[in-house]
Order: sequence, then structure tokens, then C-alpha cells
Amino acid sequence: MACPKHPTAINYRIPLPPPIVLTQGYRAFITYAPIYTDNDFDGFIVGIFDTVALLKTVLASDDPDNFTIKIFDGEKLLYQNTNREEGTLESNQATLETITQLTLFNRMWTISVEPTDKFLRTNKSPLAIIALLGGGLFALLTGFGIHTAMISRQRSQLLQKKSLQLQISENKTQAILNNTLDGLLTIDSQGTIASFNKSCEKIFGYRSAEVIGKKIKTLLSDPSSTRTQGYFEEHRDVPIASLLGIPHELEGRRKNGQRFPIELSANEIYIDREKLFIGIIRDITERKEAEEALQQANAELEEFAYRTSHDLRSPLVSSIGILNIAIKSVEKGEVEKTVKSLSLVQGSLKKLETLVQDILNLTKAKNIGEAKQEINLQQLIEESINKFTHLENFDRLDIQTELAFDEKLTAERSRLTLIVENLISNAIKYQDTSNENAFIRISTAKTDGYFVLTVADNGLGIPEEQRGKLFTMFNRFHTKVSFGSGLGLYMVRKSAEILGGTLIFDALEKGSAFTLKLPLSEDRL
Amino acid sequence: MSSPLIMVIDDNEADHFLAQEEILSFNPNSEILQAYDGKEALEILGKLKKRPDIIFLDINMPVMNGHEFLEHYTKTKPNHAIVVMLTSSSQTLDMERSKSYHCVKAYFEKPLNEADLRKVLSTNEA
Repeated sequence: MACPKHPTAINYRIPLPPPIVLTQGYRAFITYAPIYTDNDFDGFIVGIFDTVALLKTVLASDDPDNFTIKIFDGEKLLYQNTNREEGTLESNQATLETITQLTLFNRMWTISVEPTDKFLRTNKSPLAIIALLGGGLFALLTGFGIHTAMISRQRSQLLQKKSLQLQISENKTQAILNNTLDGLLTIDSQGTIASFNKSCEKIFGYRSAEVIGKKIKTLLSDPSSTRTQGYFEEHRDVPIASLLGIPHELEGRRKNGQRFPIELSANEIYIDREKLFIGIIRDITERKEAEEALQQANAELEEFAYRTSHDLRSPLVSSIGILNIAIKSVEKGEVEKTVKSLSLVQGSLKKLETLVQDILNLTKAKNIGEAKQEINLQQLIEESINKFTHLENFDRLDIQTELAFDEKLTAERSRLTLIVENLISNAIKYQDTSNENAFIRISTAKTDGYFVLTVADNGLGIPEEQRGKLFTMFNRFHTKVSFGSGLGLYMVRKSAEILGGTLIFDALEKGSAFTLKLPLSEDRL
Repeated sequence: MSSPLIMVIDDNEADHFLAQEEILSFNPNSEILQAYDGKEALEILGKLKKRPDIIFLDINMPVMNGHEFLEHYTKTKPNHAIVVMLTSSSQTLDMERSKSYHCVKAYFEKPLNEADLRKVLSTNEA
């Protein structure tokens, strides 16, 4: 049937006659197409299609449990995927039925798809709603979650910024707290140390970690601690009027056990309704020392004022009295009595003169800032001795000098002179006149980097019970011997201290020895 | 006229002279003992057979001052003489301290004058 010259052609205008019912009872289509070879009609290709088998093949994936699919050719049911006897277009699920009509091969086709009862039952369960609600909720939650995350991120950024600012501020505060000269600490309402700044560490010698959590009494000496700890523990609810806001002087105790005066000012503050005490601690060692020195100077000044007024007045008072007697005895022509009276007045006035001289020297010794100069020791000692040749019993003394110190000595000349003169004149005045071999021995030496000058004698010495008062003002130790002011040794010691040295007394078996020691190094003040 | 035994304890020669003159002009029969400090006074008193009627006592003296003398004297001697403070100190503290001793009957400031002397001698002379 094939034509070699002309390919075989099939006319695709295939007519579709109405369905037929085969003898087997199946519905079927018969379709046919004419075949042409070299434009000559060759015949028909006839195809018989079992509609059910065809559609089953085409709709292989249909789900007869869930959907009912019906295909009509015109009014005739061609195909139904279920076995139910519903050969009509009327549906029991009209609302859910989808009907599509199309014209194909000049015929009207109707395809009806409707859900089965089973499908509807399944889909009427609340699962779908739950799923929907669940989905909605999930979406909402997700949205909320994202929103929260965004806000949280914003907040965290703000917080970070604030925290940074706080940190800077905290660092600043800490820097201020740590660099205050005063010690700052906080104490909780149980009397426990809560914070301890750098200055506190310096003052007490403890690291802050060593005392935080310990009781405040750790930092105080025993008598102070009991009382102070009490302030913080017992008066918890009562404002401690006696302690708060008023600086209190207490005795602190350093880590090494050393006790020292401190000043504590405390105030209470509330942080988150919790009571805290802020304590400011100041090491007042230097202030105390200055106060004590001032008090001592004051006491000396008072003593000085009292004694000078007394000692200046008393020779004047007796002189006036004696001069009255002298006048009377002159009138009576009592020469002997007149002479005695006048010599007593002379003695009183000499005493007065000595006193005034000593007071002047003392004022000088205390006040004058004198420049240091090189000292010719031999010359200074000789001049000092020569000043006292007029004193009673000078000539009976054997004055020995032994000047072994041969280095350069620089010192405040007038102060050194005052010391040497006083020591020599004392040795002359308080010699033992009953001793045939009375002597004064003046020696110098260099010992352990010190210039040492000693004035020793075998004179009256100092009674043992009086030695404690030796260097105090206005103390005389010998009766009827001399008219001293009682200021000499006081001045000598003061001068020695101003020279940066010391003056010590040694009681000899017979007599006394006074030793002046001056440091030779240049760094003394 | 009686002849009272009077002791003057003072470290100052001029004051001794003044007191002596005053006492003798008041009663030329007075017998006067001189001590130059508390210690010397105690030594003299220890040797005396008869206790003095009056002791004039200075305060500021070397070796043993007036206060120290009173302390020793009242401890060691059961039968005390009348003590009159004669001093140039007008300090209240000195005055109060010396008056705390029972034997101290008066506190005079130097120099000794006739009126003060009369007061003491007339009331205390037996």
C-alpha cells in the first residue's frame, strides 16, 4: 500500500462518530482516518477505542477514593472512575462539583469532577482548622519572634551603649576613688567591709581582697575597735549622731600590727534600700606629731613665761627690800651691814643679768637660721675657756684638752659655741672645791662617722634622783654654789638638736661627762 | 619676851638676809636657823632636840624643793612645826598643793613684811 514516489499521508481531520456499544458491552469509539498515497486515496485506518480502558490509562493517577470523575459525551456517560450507578449529571455534591464542558471533534464533552463522601468526611474533621489555626499561630509567633528579636537587638545595642557609658563613668569614679589621698571604704550594716580603695591599701598595708568581707575592727586597734564596731553593729537603725558626719580620732592598726592615729568620718547612705556606711579614713600620724610638738612647745612656753616672770621678779623684789635695809643702815652708820646689803643686791642683779642673757641666747638658739661654716675647733675651745677665767675657783682647776679630731668640721658656729661655753662654764661652777685635783677634760674625736666632743669633770655631779630633770627648763641642781638660771643645759640640748646631733649625760664615778655627737655626712639638714 | 625658834628654808642668800632682818626687828630674841634647800633642812631638823615654832618655806629650790620637803617632813616627823610658805610664786597650783598639808598655816608672797609676821607669830606663838 505504500507508494515509493509519494510518502503516505494521513488526513488528520479525523471524524469522531458518536460512541457505540460493543457487543462485549463496553462503550467504545470508532475512529477512522483516510490514507492517501501520491494523492490517491488508499483507504481508511480504523481504530476502535475502549473508552473506559483509554480514560483509565489517561487518568491513571486519579484517586477513585477521593474524587469521582465522570466524562459525558453529550448526555451519555462515557467514563466513570467509580462503580457507583450514577450515570447522570445530577450530583449529590452540587456545590463541590466542578463541571467542565468542551467541544472537541465537533462533539460536546462534559467532564464532571466531584469529591467523594469519604473525601468530604475526611476534610470535614477539625484537623484542617487546627492545622490552619496552628499555621496562623505559628506565623504569628514567628512574626512576634522576629519582632521581639528586633527589639531585643535594639535594646541590647542600647544597653551595650549604656553599659559602655556606665563602664566609663564607673572607671572615672573608680579612678577618682582610687586617687583620693584619703582612704575610702564602705561598710555594710553588719559592720563588714564592702569596698576598700587604693589609698586604704596604702594606709593599712592590706590588699582590698584581704579585707573585703572582714569586720571593720580588723583595721582598728583594740580599744578603738570595740567601740567603733559597736557603732556599726548596734546602732543599725538609729542614726549614729555621735559618729556620723563628725571626724573621729581613732587608733588604726596596719597589717604589720603597727598602731597609728587615724581620723574616721562616716556617713550612711542607702543603695536599693540597703543601708551602707561610707567611711573616709585619714592617716593623721603627721598631724598628731605636729600637734604633740606644738603642745610641747606650748607647755614649754607657758613654763617659760611662768618661770621667767618669777625668776625675773624675785631678784628685783629682794633687791628693793635689801636696798631699804641698806638705806637705814647708812643712816645709822652701820657700815658692815650696809656693805653686806649692797653686795647682796649686787649678787641678785648679777643673777638677773645672767638670766636675761640666757633668755636672749635661748631666743636666738630657737630662732636664728644660721649658715654653716668651717670651724676651727681648737680656737673655739680656747676662746670659750678664756671667757671664764674670771670665775671663782677657775685657777684651781686643771683644764686638759685632747683634740684628736683632725678633719674639717662645718657647723653653725654660734650654736656650737653656745654648747661648748655652757658645758665648760658648768664644769667650772660645779667643781668640787674640796678636791685638790679638780679637773676638766675636753676631748674631741671621730667615732663611727660622728664628730664627738666630750666635756668631763670630777666635780659635784648630778644627784641620781635629779637626773631625769637634767635637760628641762629652770632646773638647778646645786644649792649655794652658783646663781644659774636653770636654763643652761636645756639650751645646750636644744642647740644640739638643731645641729642635727645629740647631747647625752653620763654620770661618772666622781663627776659628770657631757657628750655632743654631730653627724659628719653632708646630708643632714 | 619669848625667844621663838624659827627656821627659814630658801636657796637665795638675799632672801635669807631679808627674812632675818624682818624677824629680828619684830623680835630680837628670835633664834633663826638657815637652810638652803629642803634636804639640808631635813638634815638640820633631824639633829634638833626641839622642834622649831615656825618654818618659813620657799618652793623653788634646787636639790629638794618646798613640795618635796613637805612630803618628807610630814612623813618622817610626827610632831610638825607650823609651816608658813614664803615664796615668790603666786601660782594657784603651788598654793593649793602646799595648803593641802595640815601643818601649812599660811601662804605669803615675798618679801616677808611686818604685818604678815605679826599675824603668824601672834596667833601661833604659845
